[in-house]
Amino acid sequence: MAESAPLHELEPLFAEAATSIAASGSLEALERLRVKFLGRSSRLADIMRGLGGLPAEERSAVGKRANAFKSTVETQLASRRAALAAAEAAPTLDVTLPGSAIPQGRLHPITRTIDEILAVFTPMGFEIVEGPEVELEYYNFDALNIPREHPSRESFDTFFVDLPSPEPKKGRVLLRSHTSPVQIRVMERRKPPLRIVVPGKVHRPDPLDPSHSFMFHQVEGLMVDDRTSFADLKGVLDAFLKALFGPETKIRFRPHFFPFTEPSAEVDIACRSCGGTGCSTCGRKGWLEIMGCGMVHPNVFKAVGYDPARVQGFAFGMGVERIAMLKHGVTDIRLFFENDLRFLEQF
Amino acid sequence: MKVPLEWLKEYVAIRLSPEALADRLTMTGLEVTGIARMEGGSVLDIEVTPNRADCLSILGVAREVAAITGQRVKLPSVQGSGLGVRGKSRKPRTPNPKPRTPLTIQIEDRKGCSRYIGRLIDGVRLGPSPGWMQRRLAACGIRPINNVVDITNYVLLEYGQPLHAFDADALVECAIRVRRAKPGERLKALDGQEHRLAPEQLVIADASRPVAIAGVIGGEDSAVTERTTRVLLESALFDPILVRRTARSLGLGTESSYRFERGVDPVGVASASARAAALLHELAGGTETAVVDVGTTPSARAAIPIEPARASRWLGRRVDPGEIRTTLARLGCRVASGGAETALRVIPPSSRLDLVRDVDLYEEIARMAGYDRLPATLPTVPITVTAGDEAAAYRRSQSVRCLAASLGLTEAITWSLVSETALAHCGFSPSTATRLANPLSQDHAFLRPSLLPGLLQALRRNLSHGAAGVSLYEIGNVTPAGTHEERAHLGIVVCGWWARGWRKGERSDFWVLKGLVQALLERLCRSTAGWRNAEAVWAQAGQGAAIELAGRPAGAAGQIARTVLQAWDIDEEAWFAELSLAALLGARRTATPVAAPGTFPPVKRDLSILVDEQRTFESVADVIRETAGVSAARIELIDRFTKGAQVPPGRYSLTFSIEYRDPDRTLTAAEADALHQRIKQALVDQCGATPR
Repeated sequence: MAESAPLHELEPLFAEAATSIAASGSLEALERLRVKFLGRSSRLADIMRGLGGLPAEERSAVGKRANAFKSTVETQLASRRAALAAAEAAPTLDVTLPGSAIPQGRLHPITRTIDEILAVFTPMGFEIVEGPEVELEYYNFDALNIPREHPSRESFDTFFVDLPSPEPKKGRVLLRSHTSPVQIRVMERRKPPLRIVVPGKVHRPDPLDPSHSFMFHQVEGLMVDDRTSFADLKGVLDAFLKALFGPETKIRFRPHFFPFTEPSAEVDIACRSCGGTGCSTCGRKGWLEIMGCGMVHPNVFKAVGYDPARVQGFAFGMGVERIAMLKHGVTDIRLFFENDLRFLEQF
Repeated sequence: MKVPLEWLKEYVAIRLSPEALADRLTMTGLEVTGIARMEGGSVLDIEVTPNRADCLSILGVAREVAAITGQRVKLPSVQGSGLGVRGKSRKPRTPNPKPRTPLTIQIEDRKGCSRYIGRLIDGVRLGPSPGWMQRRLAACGIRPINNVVDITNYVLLEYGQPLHAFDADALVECAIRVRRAKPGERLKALDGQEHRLAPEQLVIADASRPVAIAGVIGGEDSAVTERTTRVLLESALFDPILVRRTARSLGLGTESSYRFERGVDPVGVASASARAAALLHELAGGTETAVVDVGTTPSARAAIPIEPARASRWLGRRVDPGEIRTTLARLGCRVASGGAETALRVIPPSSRLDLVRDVDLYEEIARMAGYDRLPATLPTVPITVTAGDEAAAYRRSQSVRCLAASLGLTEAITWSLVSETALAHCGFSPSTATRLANPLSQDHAFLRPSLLPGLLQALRRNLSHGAAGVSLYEIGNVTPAGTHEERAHLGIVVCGWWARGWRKGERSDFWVLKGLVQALLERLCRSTAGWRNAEAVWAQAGQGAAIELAGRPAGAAGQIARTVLQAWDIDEEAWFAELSLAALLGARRTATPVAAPGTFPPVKRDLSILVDEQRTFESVADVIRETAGVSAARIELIDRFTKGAQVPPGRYSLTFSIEYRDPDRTLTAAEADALHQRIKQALVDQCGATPR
């Protein structure tokens, strides 16, 4: 049987109605569509009116389709109407407005730098240890092979505390001028093998200027066992500096003097501003001193009761402010202790 | 130490450019910090570390250059300079008509002075020294004075041996005594100052009085002047510690004391003396008429045993006996075979006082090989399980830092040294605070007893820059008054806007501060603190609280007193809390047992009551908790007001939301109501509450 003419007309209306309802942008436009598809002068109304003139069989089929069309369109109109109504009630969100005011806290750049440094050493098995800032002369100097009345003490000018010593045999009370006394305190209470890193605050009577502060921070390291060598010291610090400053960092070790290590070395990295050609950042040297290190002096082992013939190992120390300044291009050390939020909030 | 290259080249051949030489020296341990171009050539500025006193001389640096470049050092002549005396030789004067007394030298303190060589040079003609000598002295930073003084300074720079020239005619009886100063003795020294001498100080005296402070400075009375014709040339060895103490106590640092403190070559005492005498003859026309040498001549140095195997283990690279021999020989050491098969015995040169044990020689081997040419390896040590407690302590304080930052506080690091004014402005008593014996300035003379001064300073700074809200914390050590025992504290200061935005904002007040402390405690130790009203020296009356954890004092919190803020020039209100980190971390419970969340639904009921003004919230909440027991899963204060139509004078209103629950079954509404009623009754009975 050939498809009846009314059915032929009805079928495309399904798609047309669905598309135009979905595209309608207002309740008024939607009402016009309702009139167009379901109103008295619509094609549907024409078809319904002509039903009576159709043969019984065809009338039933056309009638069913026409009713289906009507209910489909009504459903679509209703859901679209709801959507448009909702949209009119609540306008589109301005998602560019700032979010709720959640207070933003931050860690101090020195804390962050210490974290970065420690994060390189702890996976290598170094344990984080701390020690007192108010120290005794013995731990700050004597036990570290820095004898009294020796010119090597001159590099370590010190603040003394105006209090009687709790242990006069261990000298006067002072503010530690480096984190190295913690080496002694740890070795005194523990046996090798030892691998420690020591972050902490230190004081030296240097007047404040852009590159000096009487208070600053250091990270100290110590590795002692029966075999750790100068080559291991080079390997560990090379790995550390590349982790901290990037794998391309150029590093050099050069002989230096520290009373508590032998051999002693100073470690430089190629200047990050000029790449080694010499500029104002590196004082035209092309290199920046970054840390001191060396093999622990046998006298230090003797002071803590280790047998210098059976133990060996290295120690190193670095200034945290200096590293933070290099990493972030800070040119005045005092900024770290002024605690100006405009500075702190940049980290 | 300034080293003119043309002078250096007199003792060692140098084929390197100044820059290349500087780099080689730096990389072997004599750091060249600058190269100056001066008339006559380049001058290296070398930073000599305290162990390398031997390089505080041109000859010492020449020895080092020779070792690096594989050359030999040509020693200076004791015949004269070989550099000319400006055209004419200075003829000896007619002998001094004064009657002569023979030169005598006595060392009364052998510990302070182990050797003293005196040379009497007669017929000296004072005048300027030759140009080459003046130029070299000037290049090294020493002002030329006259030929005699210049010669002593020149030889000091050349050998590193300090010398002194006296006008011999000014010395009573020409009798030198090396002794300790007598009580009350004074000396007007070449610095123009009259120094009061102490009995522990070593002096050079003549028959009647001190004429020089040993190893430090000469006296004005016996100085060489234009009229001097007879010179006593001193070359001696003084005790480093004695010189250092003396120089320090007199506040004097001289080229001479600098070298004696660090140690001078004992062999150089004689050669420098001879060299200076030759120059005095050549350049000042003097004739040596007497030499007196007292004290001990240097004994041979002890041999240092060195084992190649241990050197290899120490450096992490094979060091064989051949390398030890050649390297150390270049540095002037004598190397002989030791007792054992591979062991060697090393006698270092007299100038290298820093070489005393095997490890000192390892460093020599390492630096001559070049640190950069030594291998870099990663350690191969068996893994050990460390005690862990110490590391945990750091991690815990670090977790407090991170937590405080995550709660919205910015970390500050403030000066640990504070001023007397800062302490007084915070209400602390400076008279009991721990102070420095040698402060750099009065601004930083006391160890802080609290984090408050530092945080107030940071607060003021930020407010003065227009900050609308400042919320800072610091974790650091404080030192309670009169002790040296440090305690780690956490300090918090809040002021102005706590949170500000277009939707809603909140200004800092006591409740923001308390909320922060509570959040910290909740997260750190799952423990609730006890808060009670308490005064603090810095707190506004009635606005301060003491905080207790597990019954122990843990800190204080409150509004900072207006008088304190005024003293700090802060116009806004601010709140401060300070807690002991030990208390905070000590209250931490580890491995807390936890309960599974109940499966039976809770029943919620609200409760509004009126109570007397004097009654604290906590005392009301306690009654609810005790009465409900395990049946109340949650008790929350959701409203509080003190004014309004329903609130009679002297009373205030509290509204609680209470969640009832039975862990084993569903609670019926009737059961919940009965519980609720019981609580209401308890509040009426125990708190005098009126249900609303």
